Amino acid sequence: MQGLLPPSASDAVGTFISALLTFMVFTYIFGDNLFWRIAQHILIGTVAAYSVVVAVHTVLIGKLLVPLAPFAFARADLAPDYTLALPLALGLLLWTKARPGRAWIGNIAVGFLLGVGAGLALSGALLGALMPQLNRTAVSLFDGIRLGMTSTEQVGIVISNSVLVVGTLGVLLAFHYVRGGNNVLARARDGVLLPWGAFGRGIMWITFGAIFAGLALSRVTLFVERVRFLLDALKVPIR
Amino acid sequence: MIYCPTCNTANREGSKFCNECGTNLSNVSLLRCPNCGDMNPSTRTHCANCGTRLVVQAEPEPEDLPEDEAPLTPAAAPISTEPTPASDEPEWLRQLRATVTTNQAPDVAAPVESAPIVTPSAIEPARDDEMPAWLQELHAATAPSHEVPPEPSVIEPPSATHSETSQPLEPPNADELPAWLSEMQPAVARPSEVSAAGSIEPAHEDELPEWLREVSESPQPSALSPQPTASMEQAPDAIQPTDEADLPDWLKEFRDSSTPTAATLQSERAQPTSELPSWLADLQSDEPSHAESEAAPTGELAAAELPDWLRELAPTPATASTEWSMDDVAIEELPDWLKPPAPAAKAAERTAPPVGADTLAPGVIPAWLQALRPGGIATASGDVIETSGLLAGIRGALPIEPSLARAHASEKLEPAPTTVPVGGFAELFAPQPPPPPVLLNRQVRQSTFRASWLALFVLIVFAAALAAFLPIPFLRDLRGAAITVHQPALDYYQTIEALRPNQTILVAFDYAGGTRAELDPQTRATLLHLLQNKQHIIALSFVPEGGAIAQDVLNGLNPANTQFAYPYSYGDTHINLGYRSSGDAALRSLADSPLQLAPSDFTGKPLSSWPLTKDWKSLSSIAVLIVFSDSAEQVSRWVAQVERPTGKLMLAGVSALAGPEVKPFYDSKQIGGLLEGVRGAAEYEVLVPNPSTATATQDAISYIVIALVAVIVLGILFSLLRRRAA
Repeated sequence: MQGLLPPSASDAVGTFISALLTFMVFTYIFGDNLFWRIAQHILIGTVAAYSVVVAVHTVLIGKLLVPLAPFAFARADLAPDYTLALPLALGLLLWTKARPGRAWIGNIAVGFLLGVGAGLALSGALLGALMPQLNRTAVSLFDGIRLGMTSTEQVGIVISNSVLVVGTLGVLLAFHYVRGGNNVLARARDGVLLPWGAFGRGIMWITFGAIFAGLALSRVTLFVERVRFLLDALKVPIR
Repeated sequence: MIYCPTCNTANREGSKFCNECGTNLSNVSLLRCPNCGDMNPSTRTHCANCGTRLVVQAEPEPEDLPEDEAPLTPAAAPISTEPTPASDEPEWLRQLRATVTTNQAPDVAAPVESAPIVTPSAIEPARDDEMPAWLQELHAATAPSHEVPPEPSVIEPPSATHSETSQPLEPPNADELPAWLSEMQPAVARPSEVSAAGSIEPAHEDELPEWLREVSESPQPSALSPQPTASMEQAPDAIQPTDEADLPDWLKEFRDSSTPTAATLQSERAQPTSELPSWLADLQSDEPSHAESEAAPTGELAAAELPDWLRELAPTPATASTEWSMDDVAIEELPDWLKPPAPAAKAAERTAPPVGADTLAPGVIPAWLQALRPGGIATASGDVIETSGLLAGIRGALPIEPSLARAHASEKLEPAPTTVPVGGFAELFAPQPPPPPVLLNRQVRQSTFRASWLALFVLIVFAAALAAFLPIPFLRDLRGAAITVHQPALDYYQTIEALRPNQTILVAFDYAGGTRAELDPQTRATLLHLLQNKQHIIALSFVPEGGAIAQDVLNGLNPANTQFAYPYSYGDTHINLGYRSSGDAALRSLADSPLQLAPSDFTGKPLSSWPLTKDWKSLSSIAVLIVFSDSAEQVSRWVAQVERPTGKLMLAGVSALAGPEVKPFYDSKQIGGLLEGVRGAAEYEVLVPNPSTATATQDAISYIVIALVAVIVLGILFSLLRRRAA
């Protein structure tokens, strides 16, 4: 298989630096050391600097300053959009947060950001995530069974739907901390809700376990990719 | 388990040092709690389970100690043949000692002076105006009866009769009495009055009231009187009884008081405790020792007048004798600790624990006495038997003196840091010793490096490299296929496969460099499939690094770099809009007006200048949205702000970490297809079919997982074997 990197000199240098940094990171297996710290600082500095440059170039210049004053950037083909002065002013107000005495001025911009963000996020979460998920949870036990399915598949669908409904309600009941009194009704209610909530907690732990397994798998994948990169950089023929 | 005496940490059997604090455990021995049987280290003073005092320390024999160091055993003090100094004895013990000493002689007048009148003392005397003169005299004569002893010459020994111990009293004039009282006066006299009244004609039994007849019929304590019933039969015709209404109130109270109530019992028993220490007063209150033993030898009390509870305390007829003595009566009544030890038993006690103590069940010890358990000696069988002191002979008692006298090691008080001696304030400002040096990197590395980690690292590297050369055929053969394709990946593939040529696909590269290893195989396989199907691609990103990643992936799909042939031209087949500011507002802006969000591509050239985006006004021209992201939140934003408002079909490729959180959107049909991690990319490569790096990476992951599982299993087995060997 051909290597991922093109055979140019700049790429050769880049490949050498990448391989060197990879080895430096791997030296952490011997504990905290100078090589590890150098690689760490290079990574953090590069990412931060790249993000700042991209944000300034793409957002601040590309979407604010150039449309607002295209003549300043030799863009005669663009008409100035003065409405962008308002976002610019709001952005400048954020600088007042640097001084505590005048920080209240920046609250205007912060309020605008939080208001717009919260409004969009709440409406989106409610209509885009919560309600569809609730609709999906409120299923019949036989939802999904189609003609031609074997009995085993049908039983599997019924079990899956049952676990979906019972597990979802159980997770909700897992956060039900109120306990009833000593009367018969309260004890009967606790006798149902408490075991159901315990089942919901079990579902939660299974979910957490799956998430953790996914995290471990992600890191293993990164490691494999680095090993394959090193083998490829060393021109080892791999499939 | 061995419990650390310092921190109480449970250590395994055989441990020489505490796992927590390092305390030497070699000298720690276990002691069974006499109450609950729980094992505790001998250095503990109380049981960790029930709180019972546990201190075990063999006391030296009293004979081995010098006089001034002999342990004080309060029980032995009053009875011992070698009396302790009087200042160490409570008042009641001194009185009891004096009584015993006096009773060595035939004269039995002493009990009268030392024994308080118990029962009648709690009775409210009648008012003087209700009493006739003779009764007032009687009342006056009996009041100080236990304070002013009668003359020995007047008092006859109790061998004659228990009621003939004082001078006869002249009966009152009959005309001074009411008729009913004149008939009953001898019978209802208080015990001391009976003793003072001399001989009394017994009443006929049919004339006695029911309560008095029962008293007279019951066996009388012989120790008090050899003929107890005779004197009673001489008593009154008197007790003619008499309706309840005929009795004055104080007599009713007196009659009622003959039946012991809880209140009277408590008041009677509490009477002598005022002179005792509190702990001994509690002991006395439950033991039938002091009050009862003192009530018994009073002798002057008419047996018939005694309440049942008091008569039960009297010596049995078998042990009674005509000669009253402390040895015959009071000692029988005394508890074990008050009895003087027999010479033979005393000798045996010095050589071995008292055998009789084994027969005493621990259950007879009341709860309050359990709490007072002072100490003892542990026998070979693990039982603890008190050999001396208050609880001599009782199993489960431990000596109290050693536990109180011994100082705890943990109770050492450190001087307060602010305590500065006078004139020593200058030392506060003196130069302090330098702090311990901070570990340098080299020292940290030496302390954190472990060879086992290096071995594990080498193993994982070997497993990852092995997959680059050797596939995993045996795993594939087990399942009958190279890689099993799951339904989300199948839906993902079928959605793309169903697109017509020349449709535009919006692809979002919302992931950073840290997850490229997972998501690059997905994006490469997907874009390659799209290009092969002649679809058009508009790439953008809401992550700063995503624009560059998108361009890198698109560059890698150049047919010059692949083995496939398909149309590939920037601006015609694909375009990269680069990074756009993130957030819900940006996504909503994309849904409403894409050109407002991204008027130009990543090079800054307007979109209108590119053939692909020349007429692009909204998302209506977009066939499918494909989002590659390492964040479930970002996918959720796409669903909420773009998919829901526009109704566009949406696919997603996510990392393995975000997969479980994104899967519900696929289940709810908000996402038409889903790829999860490298496994999803490998499944897609199987479907495409143009296998790339995803399949090989998946094989490497499988090797590593197998290696890690083997290491974990071997580690568990090794740990179990080492624990068993230990």
